[in-house]
Amino acid sequence: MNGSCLGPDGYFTVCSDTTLWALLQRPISITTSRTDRTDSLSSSSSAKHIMYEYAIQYIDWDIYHPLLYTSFTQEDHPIPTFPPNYDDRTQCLTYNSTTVHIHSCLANQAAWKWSFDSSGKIMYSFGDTNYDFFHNQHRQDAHYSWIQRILLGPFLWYNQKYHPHIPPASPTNSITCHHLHRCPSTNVAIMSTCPIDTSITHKSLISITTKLVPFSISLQFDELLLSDFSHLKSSSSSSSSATVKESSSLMTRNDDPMSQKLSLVSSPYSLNGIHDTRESDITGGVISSSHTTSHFKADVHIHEEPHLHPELKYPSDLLFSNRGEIALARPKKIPTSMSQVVASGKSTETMLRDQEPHDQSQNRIFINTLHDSYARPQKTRKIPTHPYLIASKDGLYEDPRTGLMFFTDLCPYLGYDKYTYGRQTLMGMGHYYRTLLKIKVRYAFN
Amino acid sequence: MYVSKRDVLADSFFIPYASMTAKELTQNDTFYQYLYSDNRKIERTLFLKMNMQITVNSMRASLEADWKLLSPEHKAALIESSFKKRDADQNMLKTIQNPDNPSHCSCGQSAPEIFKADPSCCSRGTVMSFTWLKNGDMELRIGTSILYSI
Repeated sequence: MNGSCLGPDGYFTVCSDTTLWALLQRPISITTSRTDRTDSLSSSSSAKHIMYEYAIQYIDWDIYHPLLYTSFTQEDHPIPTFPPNYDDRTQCLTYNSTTVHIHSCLANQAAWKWSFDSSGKIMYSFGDTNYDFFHNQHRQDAHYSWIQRILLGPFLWYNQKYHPHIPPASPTNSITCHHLHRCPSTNVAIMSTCPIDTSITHKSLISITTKLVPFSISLQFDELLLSDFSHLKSSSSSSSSATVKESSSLMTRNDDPMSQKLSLVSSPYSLNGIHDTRESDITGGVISSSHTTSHFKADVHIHEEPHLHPELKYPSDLLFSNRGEIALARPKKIPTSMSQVVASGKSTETMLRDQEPHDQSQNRIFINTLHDSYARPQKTRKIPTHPYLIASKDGLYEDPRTGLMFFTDLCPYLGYDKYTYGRQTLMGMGHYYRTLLKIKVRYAFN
Repeated sequence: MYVSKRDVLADSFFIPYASMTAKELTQNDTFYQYLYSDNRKIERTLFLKMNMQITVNSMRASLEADWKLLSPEHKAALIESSFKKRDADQNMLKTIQNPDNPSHCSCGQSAPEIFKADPSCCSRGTVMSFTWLKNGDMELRIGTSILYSI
């Protein structure tokens, strides 16, 4: 999304050969008609709404293929631009009640049921798509299954209420967690039900997360990291009214009437184990229910916890400045909550667009050490790149010492279909010498 | 060395190496020992490209003497297989006719007489590859044709 890819460690970073997932976004233009009746006459009007659908695209191609780039800003760090015109071979992630699969993005509408909430959680709707949901709200008998969502992450959290066929982790709580496991072929399976103690601390959850993510497609979407994606960190001091605004989903435009409805959905997961998917009632934009969305509780907990795993980053570490300037650890002046964004007159989309990477200096990630203070400038490092792929041309790498050409992807040589078997990537190169003959020359002078 | 990208991504061993630079990786013996170890988690191909013209006998001798990744039984089977007569495929016929191959080396493959092929040598650029599959099989290719599968 916005030129970034979902990286192997669950962060949105610059696309490279090790990134696997990209988010596809497509607008849905919906025209609805409304009939207003008065005593003497009736008038009809139509309104056009723009909503968005999202799919998670599986990327298994040569990320450095020249067709992927519209421009090369730097020779060694080209910025890939994913073409929006995906074809029927583009594969996307779909999910059913037990497993995650990869299917064609175009042929399978189920691939477009991923969504995001205000804090950036990636969720999957078993029921309605954005489009369906929009129409359902106009039906009296609509069954809102929107809340039946899955949080995709190292753990898949769900409410036992909606998944009675899966036994709970323990009799004392109804929260069960799974993590994704990549199968050798094209499937991704949900493996290893792991009981989670409801009294688990954030710190220990992080370490479990790290431990249970054995492969690169795992998505670390706990509460802390979720806000990394959205770039809109939820404020711990949000009031109820702010909550309404903050809950406006990224799926809709701010001026969309759907925003309020979507805001009713509570986060299905919180760090302290509270699992709340109840809907609140809203009248005139004010929450009438006393339920507080659970993710705000989690935020408070996060902000009180200064110790992070060394490999994890604070949400602000992924905030890039427009001109590639090195950002400080805590950009306090940047509006972090949706309420602040709305107050500043800047839409969510604008925020995201503004943070779009434009040059090489933005292709840096900010690394936090364990006890970094907020004020200290962050240490930066380049994202590792594949030297053979970077130096290759048309899929061929030329060995500078011998002049011999080598494939960067061996699939054509082996006779494999790249889309079925994936890339066979050049990993290393060496020179093998063998002394065949030892010739001794003697000169005889007469 | 080529590895299956999907297999690498599915193998938790590689997680610590994901953030390393190429230079850091080259200094890490554990990484390459794992790649060359006898594990069936990842599909690997060792891809050899000759930098000079070489005789088939020299290749056999090198295989027998220096290769430590193959068991003696595998080596014997491969060497024995290399003596079997094989017809040159289209790629090899092109190689025989290539101006950069003045000796018309066909690397143990037989071609019609018109090509004046010399099967006793392999030209520069000849490829030999060993592929270890995850089911335990191993494939040897010379050029693009599979010479032997164990």
